[in-house]
Amino acid sequence: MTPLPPRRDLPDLQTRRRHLMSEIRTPARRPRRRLLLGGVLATVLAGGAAAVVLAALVGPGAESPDAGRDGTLRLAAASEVLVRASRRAGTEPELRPEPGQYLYFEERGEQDHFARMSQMGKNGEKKYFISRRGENSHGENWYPVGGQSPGMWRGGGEGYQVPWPGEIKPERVSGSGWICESYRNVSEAGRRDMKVVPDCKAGDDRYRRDLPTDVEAMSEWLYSPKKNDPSPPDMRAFNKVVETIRGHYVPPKSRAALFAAASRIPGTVLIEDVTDLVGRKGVAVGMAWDGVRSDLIFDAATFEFLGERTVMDYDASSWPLKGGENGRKADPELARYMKPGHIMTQSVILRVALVDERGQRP
Amino acid sequence: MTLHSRNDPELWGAAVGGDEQAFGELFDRHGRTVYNFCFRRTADWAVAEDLASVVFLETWRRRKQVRLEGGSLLPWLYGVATNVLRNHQRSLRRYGAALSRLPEPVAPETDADLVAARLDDQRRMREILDRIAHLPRRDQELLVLCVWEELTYAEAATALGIPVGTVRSRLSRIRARLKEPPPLPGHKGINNALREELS
Repeated sequence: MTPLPPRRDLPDLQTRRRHLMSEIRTPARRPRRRLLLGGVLATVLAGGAAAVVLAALVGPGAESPDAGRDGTLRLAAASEVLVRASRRAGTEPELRPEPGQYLYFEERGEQDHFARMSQMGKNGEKKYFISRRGENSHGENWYPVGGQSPGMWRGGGEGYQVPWPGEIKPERVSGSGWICESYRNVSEAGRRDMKVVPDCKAGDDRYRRDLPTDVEAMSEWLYSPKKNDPSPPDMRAFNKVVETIRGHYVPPKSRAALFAAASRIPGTVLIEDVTDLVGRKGVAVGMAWDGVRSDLIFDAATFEFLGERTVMDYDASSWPLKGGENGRKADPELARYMKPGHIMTQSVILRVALVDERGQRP
Repeated sequence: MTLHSRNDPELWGAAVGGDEQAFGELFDRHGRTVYNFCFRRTADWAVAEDLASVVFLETWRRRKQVRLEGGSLLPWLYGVATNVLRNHQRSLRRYGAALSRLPEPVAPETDADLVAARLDDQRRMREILDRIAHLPRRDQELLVLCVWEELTYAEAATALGIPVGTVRSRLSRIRARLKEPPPLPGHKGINNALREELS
């Protein structure tokens, strides 16, 4: 009979001890001295995104965002783009998976944002500083269709996290990991033995066969209430469109219904002459709230969905609750760096296909 | 320097009173045990590392509820660990922000023999866990605590928050359900009636 493996010493015991002591001392946010790359990169690779940024924008005593753009024209044009995107989606051939196949998703991601961070001084006083962090990643994902076994990602990129103003020193990492496992960073994931298959697979199936194919039903689904979300219903519905399409395969009929339903959401704006992360010419449809605009990017000629991004936008005129009285105010120091138009996150789809094996390319 | 090293109740009292050194000392004392326990339930050294930190953070978060059995914090830590392990993915996510503040190891592991040995540990541990996988989760928990971790009835009762009598009766039921005796620690343990009862 196999005996139990021997007990081993906890690696980096002193580091962990100090970490625990500092965690119990200050439950509040403190700077991450470690390079963040992995945490964020892994999220992007696994088809997630950074919603963290919003909190960083809140600060005391900021000016109210300036309102006063003409929303009417934009609204019509933005909805027109979505109608065309819906038509285009309806003509795309459907991926029809066979049992046991994997959905292959190749993506590129980029992040660049600023955050206010605090650090404990020697005498226990709080010191504030601005930190800039970002990354540029390329990843491939294998999602099990039907969720039969765990999904995997492989990828890499470079990232940085530095006090700002300062010098950007990116660090390169690459690796692979399981979608369902959380890693502190990519290099940790890269050290794992990928032959040992984990027993988790929740959320690995990214083939959305559960969505309505009818515009009315889709619209109702987009507006279904969500707890603990303070944003206005239209913004929530728009965000749901973004979350549904990001990192998922939505079959053509549902995708057509999704964009058609999105075209009915009031408050969207059109952004022309967009170039995506890999240089493709596009147009974007976005909606701003709370200082950040969420954009869906479409091919300028074919209206094929290319990806999504978040952009700084202090304009509140497009948003139904005019003037932004319920919105939070921008932190003036952060606003110096996060100017309107600054792209904070972007993730674009390069390839989506079906393959037979994990790790196999189409 | 003091000749008297503080016992768990003294250290815990000091920690709750704001003495972070005392909390650090408790980690020095029990961190390794918790780490190995987490490994034995997950068969993954890397996950067990983070879970060991999570167990201490969670113990701290719920510090008002902590009870010390027999003058030791360890049974309580086993209890917290058992809860944390029930859904360790969720636990790791909950403490994701805290864990991300851990500094990177100075140098990654370079000792090839040790890396290989640890991988081998993981394979073996997974085999062993497969062998008790047919038992209900609660029974697995009790079995691991009493047989592999060699807790007494009273300690196991504290860890799982159940009466001592229940520990006893459930153990005899487990014995009846086990197809073969569970693997034992590879060393001579202290006297333990449970061992006899289970083998």
